[in-house]
Amino acid sequence: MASFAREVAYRIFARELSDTTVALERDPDDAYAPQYVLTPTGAKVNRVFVIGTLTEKEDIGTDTEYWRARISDPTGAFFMYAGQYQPDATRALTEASVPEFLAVVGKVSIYTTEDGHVMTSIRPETISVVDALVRDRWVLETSRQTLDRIKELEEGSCENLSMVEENYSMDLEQYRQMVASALESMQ
Amino acid sequence: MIDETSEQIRKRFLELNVDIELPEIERRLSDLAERFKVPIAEAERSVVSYFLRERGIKREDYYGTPQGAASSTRIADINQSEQWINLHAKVVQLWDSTSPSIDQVGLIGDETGTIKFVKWTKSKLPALVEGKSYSLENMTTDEWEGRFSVKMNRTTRIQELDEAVETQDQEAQLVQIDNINQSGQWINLRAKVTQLWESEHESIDQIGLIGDETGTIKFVKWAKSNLPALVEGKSYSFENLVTDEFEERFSVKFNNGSSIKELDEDIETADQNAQLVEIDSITESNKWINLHAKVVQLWESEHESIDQIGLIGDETGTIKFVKWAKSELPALLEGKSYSFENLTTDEFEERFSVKFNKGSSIEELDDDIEVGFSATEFTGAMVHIQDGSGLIRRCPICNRALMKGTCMEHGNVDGIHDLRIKAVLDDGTKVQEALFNREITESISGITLEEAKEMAVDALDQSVVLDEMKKRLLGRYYTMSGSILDRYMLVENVQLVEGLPDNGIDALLREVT
Repeated sequence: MASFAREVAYRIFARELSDTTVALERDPDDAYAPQYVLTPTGAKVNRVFVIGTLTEKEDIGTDTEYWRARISDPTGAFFMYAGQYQPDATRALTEASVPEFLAVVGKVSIYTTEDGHVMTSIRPETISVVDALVRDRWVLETSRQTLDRIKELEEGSCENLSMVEENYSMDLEQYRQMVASALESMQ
Repeated sequence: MIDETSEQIRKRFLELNVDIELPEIERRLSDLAERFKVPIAEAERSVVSYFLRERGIKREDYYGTPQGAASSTRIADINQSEQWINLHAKVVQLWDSTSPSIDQVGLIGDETGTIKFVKWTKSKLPALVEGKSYSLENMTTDEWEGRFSVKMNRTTRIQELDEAVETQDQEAQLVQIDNINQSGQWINLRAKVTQLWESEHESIDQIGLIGDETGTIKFVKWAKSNLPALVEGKSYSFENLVTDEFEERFSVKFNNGSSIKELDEDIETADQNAQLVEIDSITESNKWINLHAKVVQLWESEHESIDQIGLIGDETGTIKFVKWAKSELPALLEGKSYSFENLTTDEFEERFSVKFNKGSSIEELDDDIEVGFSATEFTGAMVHIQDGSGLIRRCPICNRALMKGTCMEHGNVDGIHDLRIKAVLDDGTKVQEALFNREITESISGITLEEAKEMAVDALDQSVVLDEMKKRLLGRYYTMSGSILDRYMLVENVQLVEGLPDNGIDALLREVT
C-alpha cells in the first residue's frame, strides 16, 4: 500500500501538455484514485508548475465568477479554469492584467470536446505574479527536465516507456526541437 | 511576421465593420512577442481578445461557435471537478456530519460505483434516507487530492424514485483483511480486537484495530449504530461492515446493518513477531516492531487518554510516538535510551508514528543512542503555503498555536502574536515541506512582526498578512537548509535563487543541437 504523498508538480512545456491525449485509467472501483495524464515524453502527471505570460482572461461564470485564462510559454499556451472552489487562484486572476508573467500551480485535467478533440487544461491551486527572471529560470528548468525525460525514454529507463510506445509516436526529435527553440528564445 | 499578423487582424475586424488602427495592433503584438516572448500565434489570440472585449464583439462572431455543457452522467464517469451533473443514485450510507455547515454526508451509488456526497445545510434540501433511490439534478462535482465527490446546493433538485437504483456489491462477502483494497465495499470478517483506542469524538462509540491471520485494520463503530461493546483480545464474526479509505489507508466501519457475534475460538493474528527495525525503515502502518531508541522530546499530551507523546530517535532518524494512558507502561524520560518491544506503526498524511499498547515493553538501555538529525539542503519553487501560516497567535502558557483564538490545552487565552510559514517547495521531482520561524519568515517575506500586526489592525483581519506573503513568495525559487523533523524541514537558512546559472542556456543548447 503506497502511502499518501503530495503529488509532485511537474515541469512541462505548453506544447507538450497540449499534445497530451492520454488520461491514465483510474481504478474503476476506487472513486478516490488520483487522475494522471501521460505526456508524450513519459511523465505521469497529476500536478504541474508552470510560468508564462497571461495572454487572455475572461470571466465566463453566470452566477459566480468562473475564469478562463490562457498562459503562454515560448512553445504554446496553457488553458486554465478557476472558480469558487479555487478562491486563491480566482482572486489572483481577478487582479491579474494582460500581459503579465504568472506562476501557476495546478492539476491537469483532460477532456474530449464534442467534435472529438482531446484537450488538456489546468485547474489552478495558486497563482502569483512573478518577474522575467523567475520565468527564465522556469524555462531553463523545464528544458532540463524535458531533456532528461527524453533521454530516459531513449535509454529505455523510463518506467512508463511501454505506455508511451502504445499511445504516442515516440517522435522525440520534435520535443528536442521544442526545447531548443525555447532556449533560443531566451538568448 | 508582426506586420503580416497585424494586417490580418485589422482585415478581419474590418469585415465585422470595426476599424482598428494598425500601429495600435502592432504595438500590442510586438510587446507580447518581444518583451514577453510569447509565440506569435498566442500573441495574435491575446491581441484579438483584447479588441473583441474593447469593441464589445462576440468571440464566436470572430472565430466560430462555442461548445455546450453536458449533464446526465453515471458515477464511474465522474473524472473532473466543477462539473454540473445529474445522477440517479441510491443512498448507500449516511455518515455523521462533522460540521454544522453540512446537513448530510455519506455515500451514494449507482450501477457503476459509489461516490461521496455532501449536502450543505444552507441548501435547505429535503433529508435523504439511507436505502432510498433518488433523481438528483444539478449537483456539482468536487475533487480533493484526486478523490471525487458531489455537492448538493441550493439549486439541486431531489426527487425520490419509485424504482430502486441497482448498486454494486450488495452482498457482503467474507474476506481476509489483507484483501481489503477498495472503499465502499460491504464485507464480513472474522477477526480479533487487537487494540481499542480512546474515542476522540462523541459520535464514535469504539475505535481501534482488529486483526486476522493476514493483517490488521482500523475499525470505527458509530455510537448511533447501537451495537454491543467489543472487548480487546476477543475474537468475533463481523457481518455487513463497510470498507472506507482515507489517504490510501483502509478501515472498516460498522453501521446500523452490521452484526457482531463473539466466537469461541481465538483467531490468530498476523505480525505478532515484532522485528527489531531502524526508524528510517518504517514505511508501513499496522506493523509490530521493536526499536532501540532515545527519547528526544516529550510533548504535552493533548488528551487525557494519552499518557506520553513525543519524539524518539535512533541513528537513522526520528519518529513520533504515542503512549496510551491505559497501556499502563512506565514513564519515559527525555534523553534516556530504551529498548522498546511490540510497538505498532501508524501513519497519518504520510508521516509515520509508533504506538505503545498493553503488550508493549520498555527497558532502559545503558548505552546512549546517538540520534541522527541530518542537515539537508533543498532547492525548488515554493508551490504552496499551508493554512496556519502568516500572523498567528500562540498560547502564553504552552506556546501552541491557537485555533480560532483557543488553545487546545488551555482554552480561551490571550494569545501572543508570532509569524511563521509552513511552505511546500517542489523541484519537479520531489517535494519538501518546510517550517519557517519568525526570524526566517521576516527575512524572506520582508514583513516584520510589527508590520504584520499593523496590517492586520488596518484590515481588521489577520489573514491579509498571509495573503500578502503568498503574493510575495509563491512561484519563486529558493534554496533552504535545515534539519529534517518528521515530514518538515526546520529551516535555518533560506535564500531566494536569483538569476540563471552561468552558461546555463548555452550548455543546455549544446546538449540539444
